[in-house]
Amino acid sequence: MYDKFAALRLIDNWLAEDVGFCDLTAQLMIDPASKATFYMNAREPMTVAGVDVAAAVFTRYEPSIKVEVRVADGQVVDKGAVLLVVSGPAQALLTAERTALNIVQRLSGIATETAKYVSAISHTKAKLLDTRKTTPGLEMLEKHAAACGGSLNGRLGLDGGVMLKDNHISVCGSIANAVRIAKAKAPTLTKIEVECDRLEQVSEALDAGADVIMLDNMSIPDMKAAVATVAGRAKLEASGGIRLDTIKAIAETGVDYISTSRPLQSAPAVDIGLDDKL
Amino acid sequence: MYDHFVIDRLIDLWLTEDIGACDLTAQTMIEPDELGSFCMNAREAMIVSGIEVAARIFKRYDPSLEVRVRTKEGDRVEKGTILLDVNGAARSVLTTERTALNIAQRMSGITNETARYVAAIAGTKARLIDTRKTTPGLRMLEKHAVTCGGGLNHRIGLDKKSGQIADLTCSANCAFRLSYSIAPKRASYPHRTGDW
Repeated sequence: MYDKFAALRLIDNWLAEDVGFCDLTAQLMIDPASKATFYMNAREPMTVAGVDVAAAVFTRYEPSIKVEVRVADGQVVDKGAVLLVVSGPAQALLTAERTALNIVQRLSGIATETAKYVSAISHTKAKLLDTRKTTPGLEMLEKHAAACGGSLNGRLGLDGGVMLKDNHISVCGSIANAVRIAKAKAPTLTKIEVECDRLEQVSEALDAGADVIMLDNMSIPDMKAAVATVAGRAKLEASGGIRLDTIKAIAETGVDYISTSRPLQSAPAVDIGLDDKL
Repeated sequence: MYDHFVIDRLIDLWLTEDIGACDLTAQTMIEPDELGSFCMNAREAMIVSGIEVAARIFKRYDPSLEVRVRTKEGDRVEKGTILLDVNGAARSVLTTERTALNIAQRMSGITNETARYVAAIAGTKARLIDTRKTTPGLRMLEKHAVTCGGGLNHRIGLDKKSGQIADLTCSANCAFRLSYSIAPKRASYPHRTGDW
């Protein structure tokens, strides 16, 4: 989920950054009249994200380029799958190639890594949530990639919710007071989340009317106790130090959400190439 | 090596993207005159880069913030090292905190990974060279991060003189944890940064 108009603004910046004055190699070596067709190939199995953005990189740079997108974002593909086919002026295709590949490799890397976490908790009711620990300038697209991997999005940005941490609470005197102030001032559809690192805070946050209660770095027994205490009256979000080898046990405590930055921050780029043959 | 004027254009885009209409939490919960003193800490040993950019984010958003950078780009630091400190309007610091951390974490991640490759070929005459497989929009900063780790830059972009051909798959992803110990005037216990 992202806005195409906003994505075009990003693409303009990326191309301007890479092209500089001109693509010296393409302009020196390639006849302006020469045409070509290239296939974007998955060189390993992956969950695809950003293929439409990659397509838009080509057409934004040269509107006469024809792009046939062969897979949808979120689709799981095998090694060798063709993600898209581009045809048109060879100069333009070669100039835009690297930028298109860079973004689809990065976004598909995030989607592929995210899918591993989602799969590890799919037997429970817990849903994976992403975070704002995104690459500056790519928050919108990285959150789209996380969603392609099966995650839900947390706040899209700072205007997407109120997150009360211990600093806010200490300034306001109590959780109850902090939530009261937030509810009074925030837009009516905005959710209020309270970050708790101790069990007694969970009850306070529940009584205060928090929509979501974050269980920050809590032990498994404490998370189970929080689930029993809250009994569905607010959403519970486990957070902090989530790893692929710990997430299953956390999901089985009965929490609603598990938020992690790990697939965003440590996903390796997947291998995708642009070839002149299938 | 990057241009400060160009970096300010990027910072504007990053902040605009994250802030959207406004930082709801900071604006509803923090008084405009609330002051705070914040330190950015290395939570593991690392070779740092991007601290100057992080500092610039704070100043760009609120020029009244006082930012002191306490490391140099390319410095090797121990866990617990204070990388910069920032004093001033707590609202401004909290609104920009995540963006500043995100870029410093990502760049320092690349610098650390690069340094491992550089160390592996030390003693030979071969030099490590980066590529154009950079995150779109972060070309200059990621290439700067490579040089902080001891790598050399290949082409900066399509219009620049090409050097030797090298095939370095640069997939460094920062798993580094930098965070603030936030101690606003009225806060009495340690802050832990949330995950959002």
